Amino acid sequence: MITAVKTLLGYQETVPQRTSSSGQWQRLLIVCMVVGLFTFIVLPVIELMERALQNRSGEYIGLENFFTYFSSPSLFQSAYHTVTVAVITTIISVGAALLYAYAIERTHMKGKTFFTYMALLPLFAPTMMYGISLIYLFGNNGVITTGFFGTLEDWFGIGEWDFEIYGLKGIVLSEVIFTFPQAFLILKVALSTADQRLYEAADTLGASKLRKLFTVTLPNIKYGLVSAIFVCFTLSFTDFGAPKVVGGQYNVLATDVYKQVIGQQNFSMGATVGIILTIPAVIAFVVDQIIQRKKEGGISSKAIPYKTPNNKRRDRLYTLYCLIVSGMFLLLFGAIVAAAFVKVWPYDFSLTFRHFGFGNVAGDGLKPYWNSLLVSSITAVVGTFLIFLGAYLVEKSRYMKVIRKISYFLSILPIALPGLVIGLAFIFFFNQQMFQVPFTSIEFMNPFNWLYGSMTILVLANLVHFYSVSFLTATTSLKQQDKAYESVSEAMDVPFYKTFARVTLPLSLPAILEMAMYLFVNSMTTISAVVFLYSPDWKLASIAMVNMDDAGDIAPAAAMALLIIATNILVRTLYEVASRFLFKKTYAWKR
Amino acid sequence: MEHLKVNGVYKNFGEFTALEDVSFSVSKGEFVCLLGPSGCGKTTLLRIIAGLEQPNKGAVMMNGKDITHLPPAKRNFGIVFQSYALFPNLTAFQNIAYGLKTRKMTKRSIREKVHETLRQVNLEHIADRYPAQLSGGQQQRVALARALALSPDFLLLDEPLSALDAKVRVELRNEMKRLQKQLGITTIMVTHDQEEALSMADKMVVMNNAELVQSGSPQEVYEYPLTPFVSDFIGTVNFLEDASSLRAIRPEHVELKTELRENSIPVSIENMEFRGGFYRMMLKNKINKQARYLFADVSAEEYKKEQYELGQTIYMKFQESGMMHFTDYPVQSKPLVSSIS
Repeated sequence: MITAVKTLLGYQETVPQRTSSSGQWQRLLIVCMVVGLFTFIVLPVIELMERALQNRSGEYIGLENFFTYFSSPSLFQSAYHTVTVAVITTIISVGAALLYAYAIERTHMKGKTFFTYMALLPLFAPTMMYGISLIYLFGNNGVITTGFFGTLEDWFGIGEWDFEIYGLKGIVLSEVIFTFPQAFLILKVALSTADQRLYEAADTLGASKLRKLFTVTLPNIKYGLVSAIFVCFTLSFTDFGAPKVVGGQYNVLATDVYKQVIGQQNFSMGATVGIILTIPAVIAFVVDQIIQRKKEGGISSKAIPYKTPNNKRRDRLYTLYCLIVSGMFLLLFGAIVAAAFVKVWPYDFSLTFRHFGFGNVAGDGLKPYWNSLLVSSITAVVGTFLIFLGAYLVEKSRYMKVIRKISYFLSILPIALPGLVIGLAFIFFFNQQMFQVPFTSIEFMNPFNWLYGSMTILVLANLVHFYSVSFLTATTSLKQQDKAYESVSEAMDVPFYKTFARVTLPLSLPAILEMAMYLFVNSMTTISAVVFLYSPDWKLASIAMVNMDDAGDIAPAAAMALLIIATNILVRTLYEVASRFLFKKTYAWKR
Repeated sequence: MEHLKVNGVYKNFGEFTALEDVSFSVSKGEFVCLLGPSGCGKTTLLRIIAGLEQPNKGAVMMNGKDITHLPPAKRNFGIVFQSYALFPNLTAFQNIAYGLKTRKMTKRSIREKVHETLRQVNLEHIADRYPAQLSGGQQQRVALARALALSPDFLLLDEPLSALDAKVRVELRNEMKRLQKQLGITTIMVTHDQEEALSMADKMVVMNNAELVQSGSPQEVYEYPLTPFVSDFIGTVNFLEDASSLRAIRPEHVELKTELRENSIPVSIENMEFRGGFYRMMLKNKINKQARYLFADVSAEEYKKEQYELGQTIYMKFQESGMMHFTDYPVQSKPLVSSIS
């Protein structure tokens, strides 16, 4: 078995080399890394899979849970609903983001920086927020539903509209807003690298605009397009926040998992639905791996950057389009601001700070906010350190090649795990008193059981949830650094940690800042993984939002959303300032 | 006794064979060039000598002792990579001092050592610049200085000149050679440039397809190549084949005449390439039209005198003294590399 794995991974027997103490440390760290990844990613997922094969009393029943699921009309309907949401969202979001990214990268439109920030705005908010703003705009008492509270009726005689925002429409709208910045970022990168020579060649051959679109532009961004489609599909397929708030009677898989586990305490069925929830993400993962392999050497190093031709009419059209999209985002955020400050919507429009007290409601005061701040800060600091170190070992060490390959795979695996599934898997894994060694009757105490209900488990869940993207950021930065730095240092008998501290870290600082910012912002907004794991002492801001919304205290929920957004925008601003400062400081050696 | 000896080294990367039973030795103070086309395994061999890769079989010996099991840090060599691998966030001075800092040296002696090494490569004036502010040639010399600062037993150079402009390359070639002789440091350099190897090496080790094909002094390898591949890879060569044997001759050993003489072949002039001091003529055999093009060198003086024209029929004759015979190579296993290059 071991030999088979070794052959598979291309391991070959070599003359052994005595390892220096520096090398011994690297080996130790690599072993720690792979053990850590295995313990907190693989074991919980195995536990989840086992649970899906058991009935409520813990007996193995094979695939019966899956049969039950698909034969129950109401449950099967949620699967159908989820696919519907994901398909519609993907089409709208990718289409809209493509036009927006095109406007930024391929026109001479003014205000590109502004429009770029506008497009990224939704990244700073939890998905529940879009649901809440939509309710304020299109709900029963919404601004637009009531025709600006009767103003339209008074002026134009247009009566009340019923948008039926609760349900498919509300979910899709929320998911489009949620996935738009992700698709936009991917497509912006794809559109930013184009080879002017190809367009010139097409021009000299007399190709029409449409022909150029299909023969040059689209083929050039096809990988980005596929990535964007998969990202939008999986995000909207697995999102929990928006359907929770604005879903109404329209059940989707993510809310099913929650209902099965929290409502009915049916953990086996929860695990089963969780596995179904993972399917698109796993497909996306496989496709992405294939794409990454194909992508290498896509654009030649001799490529000449694309020069956008002048076209006033095109610029005006795209400016209009970007204004409309940004306007809609601003409207949503405006609705949240209004909701957070208005006394009693829609009866008393005087302004107040009282919703920020969270006193009389299911919100536990400001404590959840402080908890979120603490958990996110710890996740950002600890996560950046651990993930960067992990990426460094995988990318730069020359020891334990096979284990490094396994570690790489384990590091990018979490990208295929929806937050809800991580949360569920963590319950199963950490809540167990005893572990049983498979196929034996040997049992031992779960050494991690004490973490259950602590703050650490929230940090751990966030780390696993956001591991892959941060890991890839670190890896990309490390790949740009000459691999010979390590060889040269080793030849000069300089221990690896010195080169790590003096060369690798300073060169990677921009990536490290980005990782920390990413981890912080996402830990602030996430709900899916932590919703199963928080204890009353460690309720987070996003969870408080859902609880308040459940209790009908929508205004305080909006106020909480606003706090989260404001914090994230502040952190993002700090990140921008730090990046700029860093760029200036390191300008000398970049020239 | 050999200073360094590579003994029966094998290396595979998965299915790919990078080195197969490679052995050679290096004497103290010698400048050895590992030469071969890209993908022949020469860089892998250098990395194995450095300890950055481990062989699947075989040994690296230093002064008679097996050092195969030693990590790079314990082998005491300096290394310069094709990319130079200068730390971009450190100045030239800091780069050179980098390895000295871990040796128990005082700040003062480190400074002295760095300046001494910078002087050796004529770069004292750029000590405080970052690599990005240096020219390619300067970067290369800083990398060399960094390797030399630790006073290594031997120096390993992995295509150190290939990223430079032709002119800088020739300049640095001479400077490196001078420095190597002056310091008397044993050096192994990997290159795919035969001209570079010929001009710098005391000893050439020619490799092809993971195997060592020939080693010897540049003159030896050039004049007495052991295989058709070597004759063709080091310099230009005309292959002459008949039923039983393969012979080869270099363009400088070919005489051209405008009149028919004994033992000469009629050819037509296909192309004439000006090479500075001489012209290289590309010729077509008029008897056997399927045969490959032939090459002959004509001095610039002779060229002016004869006033050759394209398409003109002339006669070529081979100097018997310059003829190489490859008796072990039947016509079927002709060289892989075309002589039209």
